[in-house]
Amino acid sequence: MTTGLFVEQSLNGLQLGVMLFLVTAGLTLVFGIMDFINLAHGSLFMFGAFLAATFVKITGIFWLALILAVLATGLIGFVMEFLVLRRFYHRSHLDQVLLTFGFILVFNDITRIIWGSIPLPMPLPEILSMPVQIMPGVMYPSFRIAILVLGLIVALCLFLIIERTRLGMWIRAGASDRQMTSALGVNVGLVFTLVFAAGAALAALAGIMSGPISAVQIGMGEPILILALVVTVIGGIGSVKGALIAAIMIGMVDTFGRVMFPPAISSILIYLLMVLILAFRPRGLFPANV
Amino acid sequence: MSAFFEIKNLEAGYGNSKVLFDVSLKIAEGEFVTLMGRNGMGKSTTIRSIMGILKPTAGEIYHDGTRIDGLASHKIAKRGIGFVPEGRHIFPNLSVRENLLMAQIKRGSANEWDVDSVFDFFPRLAERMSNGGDQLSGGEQQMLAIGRALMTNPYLLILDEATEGLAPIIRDEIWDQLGKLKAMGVSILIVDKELDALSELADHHFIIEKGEIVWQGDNQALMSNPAIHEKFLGV
Ligand SMILES: Nc1ncnc2c1ncn2[C@@H]1O[C@H](COP(=O)(O)OP(=O)(O)OP(=O)(O)O)[C@@H](O)[C@H]1O
Ligand SMILES: [Mg+2]
Repeated sequence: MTTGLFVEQSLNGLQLGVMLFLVTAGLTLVFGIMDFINLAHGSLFMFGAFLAATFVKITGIFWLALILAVLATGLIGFVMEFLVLRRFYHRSHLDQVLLTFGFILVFNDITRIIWGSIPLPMPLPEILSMPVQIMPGVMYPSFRIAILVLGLIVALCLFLIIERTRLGMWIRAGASDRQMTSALGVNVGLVFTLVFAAGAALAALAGIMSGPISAVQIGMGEPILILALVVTVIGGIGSVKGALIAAIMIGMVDTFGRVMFPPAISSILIYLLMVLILAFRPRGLFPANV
Repeated sequence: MSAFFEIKNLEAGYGNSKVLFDVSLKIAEGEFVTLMGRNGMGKSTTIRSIMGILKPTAGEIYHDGTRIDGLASHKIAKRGIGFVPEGRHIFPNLSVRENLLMAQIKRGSANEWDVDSVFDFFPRLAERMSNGGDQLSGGEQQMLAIGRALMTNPYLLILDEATEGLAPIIRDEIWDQLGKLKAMGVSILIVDKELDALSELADHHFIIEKGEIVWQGDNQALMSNPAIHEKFLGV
């Protein structure tokens, strides 16, 4: 492998990792705090991409569309949690899986009704559609650099909120022992609604980021959901720190796997990684509950 | 005049199995009150009901003249009821400092508890400030659980088995500090089995048997009545 290819693939891997982290952050916290499995998380990823593509068409300004789509998806998440999901926290995991699987079907059909079945283009702002030279002889799409930087900034902010603020302590405490957290005066229900809405917004951001790379289409959330579940399990349920490390690991292994191995092997590489990690750390890298 | 804290004819249980049949008790402001009884008699269940973790099926709980049964757990804590649970329930993924900070409730009066004053109160914790909650000894965890409840600046502190399974020297340290809290005017409801230590601090005792309060009296009455010890406490 040449140095150029190595650098290019490293950037790709990092970018996939950052995107996976944004999707997983909400999923792992929802799972950790409320013990709730939300399969429809991938739908929020899809909504983000569709809404952004539509807002770009309406406003013509990419960054404005991005912000609007992220906020709108956050709102969808808020409504979904407030009206429906909170009634299912005390139900079994099977009920939760059935409910949120139902959401996937409904959301996919709603998307089909509104946007049709043909994949949408995600138009890029001009400055982001030119490739740039990252080292002699190696060109790299500037859009990919931009989303990498944006993703890293958001991941860093999120990390600081979780690790350094009072709200972050409540979130981590809630993920570890919800009952004790509320018996100390923390309104865990409110914290959770916030987490859910923020998680939806982050999933939307990830969806927008992947829009120009893959396509904006129905069902785009499901493969991502599978990867996000793998990241959640490897990182340790409820741990944002674990999700960050696991997401970068998966991003790198998946990207380099595709370059270095035949498809039959590269497609199972991340699952092998998961098996290996769980064999030594059955509860993932940084489990929040003990 | 309404009592500072009062439980009237409380009933509660888990699913179909009823555990509390008739629990009534009263705590006056500044009092140190015990709830004693043999294993499985319903002490922790009573406390879980007070904290709103378990919903009572009948009866009433009052704090400062307001009915608090049925309130959400976090609202009960916000009212000034501090909780040190059986088994400590330290957050393992938070540092010692964070375990304290997350619980802080400011009530806008002078001399409130904060991280520094808790560290002065339990110097052992100060040494472990940035350790994770999962890296503490049992005694340190217990001190942290008490310190954490103090961070809510409670008017009533509830402790469930706060000395269980600890080395005698650590127990003594905890009893000493509970004595200081009483002197500061904090009302205390405690579940514990160490009668000797309790008799030094307690004003009033309640004894529970199979979910019913079967005896109550002041410290003098309990200490002068060994038959009660044998009958209800198994000592
Ligand atoms: N979560 C639960 N689900 C079902 N039954 C329970 C639960 N917790 C306690 N019990 C039952 O309720 C009864 C009272 O338990 P409780 O924990 O209140 O006793 P306790 O007086 O605190 O005992 P100990 O001294 O052992 O702590 C026991 O018979 C116990 O088996
Ligand atoms: Mg008990």
